[in-house]
Amino acid sequence: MPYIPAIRDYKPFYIQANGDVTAWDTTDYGLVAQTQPFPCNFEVKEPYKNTWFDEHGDEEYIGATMYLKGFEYTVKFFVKTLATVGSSPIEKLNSQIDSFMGKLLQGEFKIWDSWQERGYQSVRYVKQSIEDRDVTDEYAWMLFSVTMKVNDPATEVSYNSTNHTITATA
Amino acid sequence: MSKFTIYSASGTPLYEGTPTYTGSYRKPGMLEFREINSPEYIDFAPGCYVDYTRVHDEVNDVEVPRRFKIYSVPQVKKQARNYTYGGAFVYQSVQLYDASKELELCPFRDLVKGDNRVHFSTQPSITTFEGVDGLARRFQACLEDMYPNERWVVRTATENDGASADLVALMNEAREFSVSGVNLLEALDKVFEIWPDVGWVYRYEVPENEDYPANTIIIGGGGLNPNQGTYAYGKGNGLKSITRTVANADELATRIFAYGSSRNMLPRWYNDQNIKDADSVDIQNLMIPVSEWGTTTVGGVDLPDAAKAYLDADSATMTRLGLRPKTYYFDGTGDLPEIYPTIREMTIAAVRATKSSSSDPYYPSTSVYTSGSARVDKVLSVGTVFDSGLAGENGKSSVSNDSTVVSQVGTMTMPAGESMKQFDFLTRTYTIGESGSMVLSVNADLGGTVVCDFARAMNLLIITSADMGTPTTYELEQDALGNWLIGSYNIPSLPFTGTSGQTVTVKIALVVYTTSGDSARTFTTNITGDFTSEVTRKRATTFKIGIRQIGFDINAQAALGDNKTIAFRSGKCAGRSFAIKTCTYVQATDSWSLEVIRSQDDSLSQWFPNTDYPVRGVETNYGGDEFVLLDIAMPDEYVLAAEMKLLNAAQELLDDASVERWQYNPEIDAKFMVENDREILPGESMTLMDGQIVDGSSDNAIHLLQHGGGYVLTSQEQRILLSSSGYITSALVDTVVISEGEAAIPTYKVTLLDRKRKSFSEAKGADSISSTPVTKLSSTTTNTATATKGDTYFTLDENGNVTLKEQYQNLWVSGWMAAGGVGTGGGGGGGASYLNDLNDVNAPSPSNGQALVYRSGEWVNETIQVSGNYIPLSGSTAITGTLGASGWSITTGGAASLSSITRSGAILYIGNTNNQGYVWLREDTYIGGAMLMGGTSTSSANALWSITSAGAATFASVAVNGGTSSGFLKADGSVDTTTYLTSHQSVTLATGTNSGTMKLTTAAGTTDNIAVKNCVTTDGTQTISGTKTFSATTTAANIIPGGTNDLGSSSSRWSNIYGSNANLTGNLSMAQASTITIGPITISYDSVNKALHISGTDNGTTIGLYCDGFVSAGGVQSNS
Repeated sequence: MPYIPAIRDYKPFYIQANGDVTAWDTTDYGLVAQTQPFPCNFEVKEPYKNTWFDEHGDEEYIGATMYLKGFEYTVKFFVKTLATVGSSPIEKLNSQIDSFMGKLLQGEFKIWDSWQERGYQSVRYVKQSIEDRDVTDEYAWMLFSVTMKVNDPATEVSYNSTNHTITATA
Repeated sequence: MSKFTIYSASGTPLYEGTPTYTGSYRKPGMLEFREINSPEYIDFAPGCYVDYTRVHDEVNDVEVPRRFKIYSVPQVKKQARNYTYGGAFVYQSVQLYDASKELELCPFRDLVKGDNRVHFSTQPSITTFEGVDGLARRFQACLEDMYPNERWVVRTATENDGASADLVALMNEAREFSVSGVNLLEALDKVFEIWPDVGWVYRYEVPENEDYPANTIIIGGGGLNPNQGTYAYGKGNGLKSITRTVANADELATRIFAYGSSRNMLPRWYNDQNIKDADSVDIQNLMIPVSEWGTTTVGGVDLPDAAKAYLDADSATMTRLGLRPKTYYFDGTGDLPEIYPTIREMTIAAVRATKSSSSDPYYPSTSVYTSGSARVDKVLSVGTVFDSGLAGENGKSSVSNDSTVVSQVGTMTMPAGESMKQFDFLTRTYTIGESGSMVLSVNADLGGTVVCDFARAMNLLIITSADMGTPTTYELEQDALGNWLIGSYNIPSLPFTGTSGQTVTVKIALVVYTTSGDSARTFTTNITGDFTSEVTRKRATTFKIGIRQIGFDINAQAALGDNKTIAFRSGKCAGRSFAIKTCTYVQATDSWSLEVIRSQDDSLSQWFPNTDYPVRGVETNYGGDEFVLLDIAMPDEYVLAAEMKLLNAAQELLDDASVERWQYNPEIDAKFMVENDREILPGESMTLMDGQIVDGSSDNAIHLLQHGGGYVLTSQEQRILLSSSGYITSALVDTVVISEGEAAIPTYKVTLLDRKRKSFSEAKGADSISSTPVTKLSSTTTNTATATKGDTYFTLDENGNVTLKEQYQNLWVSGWMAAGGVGTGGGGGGGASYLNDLNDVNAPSPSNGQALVYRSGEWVNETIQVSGNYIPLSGSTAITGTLGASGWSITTGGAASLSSITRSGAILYIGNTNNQGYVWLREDTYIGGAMLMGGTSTSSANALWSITSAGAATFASVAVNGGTSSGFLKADGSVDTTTYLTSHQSVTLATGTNSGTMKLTTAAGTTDNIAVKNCVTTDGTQTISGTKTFSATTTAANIIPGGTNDLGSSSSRWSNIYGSNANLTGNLSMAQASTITIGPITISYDSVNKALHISGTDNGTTIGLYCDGFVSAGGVQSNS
């Protein structure tokens, strides 16, 4: 059972990886999401544009639908492990992060932020970077960010807390 | 951005992406996926397809998918394991083509459609002489041969497609076409080269008279149909920019040296002209007319200078472009036609025009050639060629076979009183060939019987005419029942000799002999079988043709080769040349009879012309095969005519070459395309509008003609665009590239082809080389046009035909629209073909005998009631009873009772509303016979009045309007009221010697010889002139001479004057020699003594003078 920091009213961050029948909470790997990263200013794709030099402004073709660009976002996670018998804190921390990354590399996945109650499908892992860490004999912790890309910014998804699944809203 | 799916040949989706469409004029349309990255291997194989929809069906308002297929496996690169990477497999340039790609794959073999007497070899080398239409059939034959399961139509553009009459004529012109080992695409390029600018377009359309679309190649279809609407710069107008460049900068010319070919030219023709350096110049080719050459002064005389035989552009163009000389040869090489002295397309009128006088021996007769438009280069008449040209017996004869079915089943009648009669029941006619002989073989393979119990004998005869002597007789035998038996009869060889064209008749007849012929009797025949014949004729080595008066004697012109030849340009011998053997003038018809040597086509082992490939003269609905004379020095008149033709062509070329040819590269507004549902198709034309850059200014670069508020294209495209303003040009879309993946919507790149190069009137008559503008709308026409969108096109060709260019547009008129009723099109495809197609007609299935009845707001068809009383609409049926209605009737006896008969315009009125019962004969009324009135019969004897047909009139009385009893009618119709003598004494005109006088007989007696005129009356005063002689004593109270007249004359003297105390008042003068005698005294004048001499009349008697008063003399005046 990984160590989980005692955070009052912590809202889990769920990921349902490709091939998983249920979503999992990052705390299952001892990771707690430190930020609420979802952008609120979605950007649309560039419409077809005519620039008439003898007229002000631009003329754009705006169809019945504006289409959103895909976007990347970054989530900061905090993980901490404590030393136990036969197991050093750093070993446990690496194991938990590797398990987490294994899930992220399982292709496309869905995410759900229960704090903002917003999620996406067609999300893929981009990269991670370590921002801070400390390793002692008694404990180890790491603050790192994970960058993901949302390829489907338009489809709404929801988290079903009963059967623990993230599904697209019809 | 639109995605399109590539399917496998079986229909399985393989890939979805955004392709780029490239449509090119005269090339297969291509759809390309430039790079496909796939995590898996995709089996892109030939047959994979995409249904691409950028072609809009205007009729059904739907996108029409056009299928593009993969024809070759694309390049693929594998760079990762299957399903490990999105770009594990990379396909470069996956190209799919529309069906016209098959033109490139299909070899052009020498195939034709059906057995239509067009020779074909099935091999890849084709040399033919025909029009584009013939080649189209060959192309289709190749496609059908290679793709038997596909529907292909290869055709030429028609006027219905918008093709001009010039274009159609150009494509109909037979030209030599030779290719070897090419595919259809290359062959079509060859067509484009030989028939200038005759390109092709591919369409997937429903053929005429069919229901389903087919892959269609329209040759000559380039640029005919305008793409939708117009494009102009600016927001909402379709163009983001327009780039204009000069496409012909290297071809511009302002001075042209033009030469024709040397064909039919005497080598030193120009050396005989009065030109500078006439002995030195060496000009083999036709030149522009000498009169057009510049001159050089030699010895004070301006002589045409061959070095200055050129045409210059107008001064404004020369100033603008400077001197840019170019030399062109109109000798058939390159794009330019061959121009040389020829009778090609010459007319009788043109021949006459070459003559300085109608007394020229070769001036076409005005009595023979009443129409000057008759073409002299068309065959007038031909002699018959009887053989097929194929090698026959001994390679010298030809054989033709004839077969017919014999069926003589029925009865025949033996006339009364005859004991022998011949009954003919089969007749065939054969014509002796040019050689004057033929051999005929006949075989009557007959059977059956003749039932005739009264015949004592019966023969079957085979009879031949033309000096064949006695018929071949076969005596018939009888069977057991007495019936006469018919068998088979054969005559193997009947030689005939005669003259060419003479006919020989072969008959088969029965001859019946009877013993008695008192009455007519019938008998029955039942003869059936086949009659066959074979004619062997010696092949003629020559054939004859008649041609019209060509203006010169072929015999008098020098041959420029081994033989003077005649070559045919049309007909079944088109492209073949024949040596002329003899030429004879036919005075009666003012024509020429040519004896021409037949020639053998070695590749076919066949002689031409022949029965299957004859030369045709003027026949019904056929104007005769066209020909030209080759290898003959043409007379000067024809050289001059050719020079004029060259001049016109050179001028046309100069007009074309001395102006810049603009090329436009429009940048299309994709947003406009989407919002206006536009499409741009390659091979069709695109119309640009702009007031500046698309501006031809004053030149003809883009062939614009200002007209009213808009501009009318006058180029050879003959397209007219009605527009409210702006300059307009239209050009053929060479390429259009549609990118589906560059932006959110499809983006377009278009290249417009340069204006088509002129064909230099190849399709026009040789005498009408000069270009004539054909689109001259009156300003009223353009000003009153209400083209609100500015995109209503129609074409007007030089024959005056107007065709709507938008295929599915309507034509509305607010007033009358009428036509002659005969023209192109037909079929009713554009409107009501049947009565039931009209809005107020509901007669979907009319049948015979029905009529239209208007009921409840529509016309319906009902059967005419034929029971009871009715009048049929056709035929003749007598009407029983009285026919009539209110106000009129015609009784059974023909008595008509009509309220009036009125003939509008008016010859006859019988009554009208105001004058019931009157007959009004108005204007000129002609009566063929007599006119009668009154009486009891048609005889004039008892008529009240009558006028006979000879004009004699008889009336009971005649009164004149306004006449009174004091006047009477004269013969001239005038009325005379003069009072004339109503009674008189008897007057009897004398006769005989007293003619001209009359005598008066009164109670007092008879007076003879009284002049009728100038009578002297017994009272009153009259003047009497002339000499009057009175034979007796005349008594008068006074005789008063008028004026100073004499009493008597020297020749008519008074003898005695008796007076009674008569007094003489005034002077009495006497002549000097006169005397006065008083008794015996004579008083006279003594001229010697100037004294009064008184003497006695009796000599010797003394006469004294005494006086009662004074006597004075000698100047002493007496006094009282």
